[in-house]
Amino acid sequence: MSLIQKLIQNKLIQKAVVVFLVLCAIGFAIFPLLWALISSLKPETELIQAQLIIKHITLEHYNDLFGLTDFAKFFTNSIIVGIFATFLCTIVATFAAYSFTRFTYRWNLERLSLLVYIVPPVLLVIPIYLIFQRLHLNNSYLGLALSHSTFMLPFATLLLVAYFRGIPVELDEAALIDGANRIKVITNIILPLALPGMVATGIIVFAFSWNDYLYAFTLISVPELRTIPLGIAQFSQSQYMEWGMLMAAAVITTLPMLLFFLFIQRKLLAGFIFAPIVEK
Amino acid sequence: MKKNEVKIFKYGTVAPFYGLIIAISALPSFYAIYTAFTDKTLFSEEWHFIGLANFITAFKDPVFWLALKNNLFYGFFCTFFQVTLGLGVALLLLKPFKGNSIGRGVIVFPYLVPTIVAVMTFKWLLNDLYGIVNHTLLRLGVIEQGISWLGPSFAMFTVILVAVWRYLPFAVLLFLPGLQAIPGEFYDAAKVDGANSIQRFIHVTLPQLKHVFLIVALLRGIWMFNDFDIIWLLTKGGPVKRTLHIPILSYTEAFRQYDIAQGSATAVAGFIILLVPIILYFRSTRE
Repeated sequence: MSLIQKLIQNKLIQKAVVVFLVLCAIGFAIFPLLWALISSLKPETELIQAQLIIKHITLEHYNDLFGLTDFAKFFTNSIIVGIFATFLCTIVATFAAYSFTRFTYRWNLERLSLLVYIVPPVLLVIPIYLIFQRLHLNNSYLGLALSHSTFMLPFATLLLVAYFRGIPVELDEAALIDGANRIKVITNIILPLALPGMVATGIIVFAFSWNDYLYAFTLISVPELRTIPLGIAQFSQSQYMEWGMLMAAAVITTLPMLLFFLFIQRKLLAGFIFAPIVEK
Repeated sequence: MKKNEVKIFKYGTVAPFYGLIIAISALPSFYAIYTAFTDKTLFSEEWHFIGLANFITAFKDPVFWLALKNNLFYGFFCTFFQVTLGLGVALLLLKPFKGNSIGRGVIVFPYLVPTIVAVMTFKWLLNDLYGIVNHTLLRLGVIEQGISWLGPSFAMFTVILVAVWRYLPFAVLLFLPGLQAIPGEFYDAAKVDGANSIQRFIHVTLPQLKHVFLIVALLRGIWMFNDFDIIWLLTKGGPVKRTLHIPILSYTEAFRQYDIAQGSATAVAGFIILLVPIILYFRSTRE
């Protein structure tokens, strides 16, 4: 018993245990992705052997993905919808956030956002489908981008409100006294200062849109307008699944998200994204 | 600036926000709730108010209760593991040693991966014949036959595994700053009083972290109970309804059986039974 107690109290062993656990956590987090990358670079014959080492690296799956399938088309569709949603949400949210932090309102934005969070997406997708059918917005980029805004607009606004709080109101007031009008104040003073926050917000909206399956699956029925998640889901249902190609698609789909994350991380905006959730 | 102008500016800047929220969130929500009380189908031109009939149909249907049970199971265990493991990982990454900053960056990866990618990658990892997991387990002699991870006995385990993998970073990312914000003096004081590390965790860390803890549990809980994509893409609710939960039941009724009204009623009923108690509980603990 005393030996075990001594072992537990040994600093070196404590440290070793912590390091081991951290490595386990990191392994759990990245192994699936690493495996996808490895699999996408293996020729068909090696794929079924499930070995960690690649003997012959090949890009054939990537060639097949872009040469034989419509993946390039899905990719473009996802980008178009993502950009639509990003601009829509970020612009509307910027004005709203400016207004919420510069004027006083009786209504509490936070509660409103929370309400949108708790509505099950499945409950929301049914009426949106019906309404968009009426408005001929099903099977359109704009319709899909609008549907992505249901969830992202309140979130984007919440993020930007937190960001705008960091920009002193005295700046606006000084400019107003100097004779600038409100629009000038926004375009010349506030927007340049808020730009990093807007970029980070835009990236989050884009990531949500990039990830969405449910709305795209419901609102898009035309093959030409399929986004990446629909495309990949369709590949996996075809007669013989080509795992190498699927993993190549997985790698390419993840790549933009990794790049965005590195960008945000570098600009030290990562903390800002979670700040409004935790504060208060 | 004139008072009128200020007013125009004040309301003009929030008008698009409220306009959009009303058009794409508020009105559709009410529309869905209203639909639940009608006999609307996907193709019907006219429909009628039929009161609680859809809800009665749902409550009489054993499949509804099965979906509710599965939903409870899936939602609870996803949230439980995300919160507990998330706290554990955050505590580990808090320890100052070399490589932990890399660890903090790397641990986020699963959260960046689109759901479809997570699902496909796990389908490949857990493939019956060629998956590396079965391969390794067979080689190590743990099992004698490849496990069918999406078969009836393991499907629920697998969907929870993928959900925990994908959303664990969210909890870690919220816990980390919460833990960092606890003043070091608190721990020093506890140490002086002779508290060991477990006692310090219970009497200092947990009470200080309560607020963040509740928020993480609440958000993860809501999102996991409502989550559609992971289960749909992995199993579509099967096999033999083992992973069928309320969102999938509702979606199937609305878009596969074209019974929009029944689908809405199922979703509304599930929402009231599962989420309202959770939200009320959290409100009561906050005050």
